[in-house]
Amino acid sequence: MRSLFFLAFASAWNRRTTLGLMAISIALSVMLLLGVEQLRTQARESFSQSISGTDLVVGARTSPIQLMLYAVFRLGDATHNIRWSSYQTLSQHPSVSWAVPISLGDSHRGFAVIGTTTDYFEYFRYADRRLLAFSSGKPFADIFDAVVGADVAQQLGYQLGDSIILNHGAGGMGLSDHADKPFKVSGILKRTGLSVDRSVHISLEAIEAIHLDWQGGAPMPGLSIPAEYVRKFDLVPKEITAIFIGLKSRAGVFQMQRYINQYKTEPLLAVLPGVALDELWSIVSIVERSLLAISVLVVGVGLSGLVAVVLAGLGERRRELAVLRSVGAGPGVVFMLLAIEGLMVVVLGSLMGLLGLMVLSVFAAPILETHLGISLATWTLSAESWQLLLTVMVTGFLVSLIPGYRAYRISLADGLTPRL
Amino acid sequence: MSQTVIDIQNLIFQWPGREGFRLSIPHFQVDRGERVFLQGASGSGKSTLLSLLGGVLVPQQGQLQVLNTDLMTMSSSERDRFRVDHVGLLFQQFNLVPYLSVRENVILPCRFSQRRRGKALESANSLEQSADRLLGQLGLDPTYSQQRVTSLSVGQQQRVAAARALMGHPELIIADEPTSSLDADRQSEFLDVLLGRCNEEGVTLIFVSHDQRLAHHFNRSINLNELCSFNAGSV
Repeated sequence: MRSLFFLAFASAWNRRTTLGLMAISIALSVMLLLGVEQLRTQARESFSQSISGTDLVVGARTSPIQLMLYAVFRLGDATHNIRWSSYQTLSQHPSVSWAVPISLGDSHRGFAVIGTTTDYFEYFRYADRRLLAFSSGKPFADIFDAVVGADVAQQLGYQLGDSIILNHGAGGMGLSDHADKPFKVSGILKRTGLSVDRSVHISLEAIEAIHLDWQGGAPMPGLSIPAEYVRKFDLVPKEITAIFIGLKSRAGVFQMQRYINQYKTEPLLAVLPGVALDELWSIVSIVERSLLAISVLVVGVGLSGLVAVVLAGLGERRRELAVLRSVGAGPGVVFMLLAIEGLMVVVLGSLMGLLGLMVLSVFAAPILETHLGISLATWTLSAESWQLLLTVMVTGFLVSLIPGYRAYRISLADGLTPRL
Repeated sequence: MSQTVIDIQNLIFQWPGREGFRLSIPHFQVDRGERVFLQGASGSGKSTLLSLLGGVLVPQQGQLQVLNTDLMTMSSSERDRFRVDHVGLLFQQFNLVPYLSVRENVILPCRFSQRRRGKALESANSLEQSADRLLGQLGLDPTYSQQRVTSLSVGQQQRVAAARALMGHPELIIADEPTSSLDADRQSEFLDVLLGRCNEEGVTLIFVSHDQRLAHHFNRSINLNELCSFNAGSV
């Protein structure tokens, strides 16, 4: 057996250029396959890490997916708000440990503005129960303080103390703004890879204040309340968009969910973030599965290239095979030689692909994290990736049996003298 | 052990599916230690006979025994094994595996045959030593043994091939025109060393060539046309 491997290796080394190129092409396809699989897993993980430690997300009655989209991902708009009194009731419920209200609807140059309380920075967790952290500054203290996410600060070049103006609605389209009540940046958050990075956080009272002189989505004509007078008004919000709730004990989560869904005063919806995220992912997964299918095809192309190259080379190797036959290599040995050669190229290609991907991911990780919010920081191969890699190698070995069989036929037909 | 190495009686071989192509040998016997010159032009059934002796082809009728072993009752893999264990083969050219060193080429039969490996190690400490010694006996300096065979001249390559055929002491060597790609001087030199080795090791040699001039080197010379009737097909 040892001499078989020696012979196969020596023969392959003799044709190292061609086989090396084949190994590279397999390496590239394996890189693509594992890369896609890795991105897929990481994207899914980042996705499911967008909220953690929150037991229930509560909003106006709508579909669970929509509630998640606007409350967690800041995608789309809420169709309804919920009453402040509902928040007060829920936050005082005996099984509730904490409840953070959020109010959405305004924006700042394309970034979502979220009205909340300072509890948000204390209780909102993501990934492995990580808390939001400040890279500079502190939570909002004054009414016109704002805390901006990492992307907002970076893209708009904001620093502590900068003055910013909020837009009403989704903004950016020359719609009316809140120019009469500018905000001051009081804090900048560290990067999270979540929608938080693209949000501007202000207090609920501030949301109330900038809308004091508004009605029905437009400034009231003839009425303008200057910023310095807003503190004289009652700034307790009347409505909010959603509530993040943490329970004292996770065991009571279904009971609490039922209680909220059957809330008498107004129609509410409570969703378990994990369950809703899974539902949401099942929609997104069509894309990721197509990507995976494409990369599987690319691997198929790589492997059939290998078979074609080895088969094409057999004609030139008839003499070599006949010589081996005359010194005692049976057709079975010739078959094994070819199979081993294929296996060597596939294993080499796969390992090169794996290594290439690791090197690439070291360079790509910061870029992906910044632009896509996908964290590749902890680079470990998932069990599925190992399975894929193993499948590629086994398939590669199996397709190598095709040229092996052809060589077997040739050496049977040629006997000891090649017919050229 | 009987002295008969090859024993053929009333052998008839036909290529399957090809009517008219037919080789028949009424009687042919070679004793141990004989060095037989088989003379025959190309197309006289030479390669077919060698394939029969090498166990690659099997006759349809008659008796074919090599070293008292009936090749006709063996399976194809048994014949493969028998060939590598007992027969050294030597061809006209392109005998060597281009990507192996001279020494590795000589050792090759021992990679496939435990028997020849064992025999080679009887008189040497290692296969490499055995190979180098054989190369030396065939007039090749040991400095060549690490080189690639492609850097050798044709004459040198044939000596390497001869060393490989002799490696591990096979009982029978079948040589098919091994000198036809050499010039006259080299032919004589090559034959001298080959026959010398066979003589010393008591190896039986079947040497096939179209060149009648070489016949005087051998102790027995046979014309293929006298040995067998061969019909290449109706033309």
